[in-house]
Amino acid sequence: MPREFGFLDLSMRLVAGLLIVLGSYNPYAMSYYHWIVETDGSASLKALAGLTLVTLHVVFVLASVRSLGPVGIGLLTALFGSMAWVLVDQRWLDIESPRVFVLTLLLILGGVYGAGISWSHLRNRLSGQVDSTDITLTSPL
Amino acid sequence: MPRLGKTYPIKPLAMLFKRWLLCATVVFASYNPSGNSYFHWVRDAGEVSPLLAFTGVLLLIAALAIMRMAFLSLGYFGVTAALTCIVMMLALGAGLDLFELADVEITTYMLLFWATLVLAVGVSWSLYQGRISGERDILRTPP
Repeated sequence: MPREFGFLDLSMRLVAGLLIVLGSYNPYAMSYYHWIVETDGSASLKALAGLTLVTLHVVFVLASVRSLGPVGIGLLTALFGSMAWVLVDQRWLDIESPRVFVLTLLLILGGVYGAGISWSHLRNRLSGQVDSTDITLTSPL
Repeated sequence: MPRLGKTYPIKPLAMLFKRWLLCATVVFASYNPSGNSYFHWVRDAGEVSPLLAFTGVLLLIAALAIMRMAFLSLGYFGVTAALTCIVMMLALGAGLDLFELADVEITTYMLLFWATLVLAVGVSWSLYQGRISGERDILRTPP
């Protein structure tokens, strides 16, 4: 019996989205960007990690764009943005600090990534409708 | 993950009820005549507060997603049939003297209730269709 898309799957996808975004760059000096800029050597490892990250970003961006569309991405950005606004207004988030500001933007992006790769699953679970991609249109052969 | 070529047993009533609860939450939270709804919150709030904006975007996303799923599932014919059902149910209730159409509050409640039911059926319809006839509703990208 196949498993339904549950809360755990959604959380894992959100965590994965955040990890990919924050792993590529974050303002606290623990990211791929800092690894490249601040240390020398191990070029092959850097290239491998970089290509992996680029691939993951492409997969996530394409999935988000296909699944959510421009309207969905805009709405989700507005949702996460207003969530951040609530936190700022409650003084739980000090957005005056440039690091926290950049981190907030990255968290919003990671949230959109996570939601983008979850939405097709959620829609299928909720309504039974299936998202599909017509790959014949984009094939070069 | 459900495979497209297989059909799995569903629980039609429990399924419909859960989706109706979701639709009813979104619709009645957005507007209901009792005076405790997002509509009244916006009307009475002097200025835009962050929580107001957040709730608004959340309700907008939920309503858009539900309406799009329901509309795609039912199509023009289904929506017309469902709207006709709403009008007929209102007419039936009024004809049986269950309530007066002039009673705006009851009429609004009935209208909203039937609208939520139509949305719930619309959201569930693809699953029913998949179970009944094996036809899946597919969204194609790029369009």
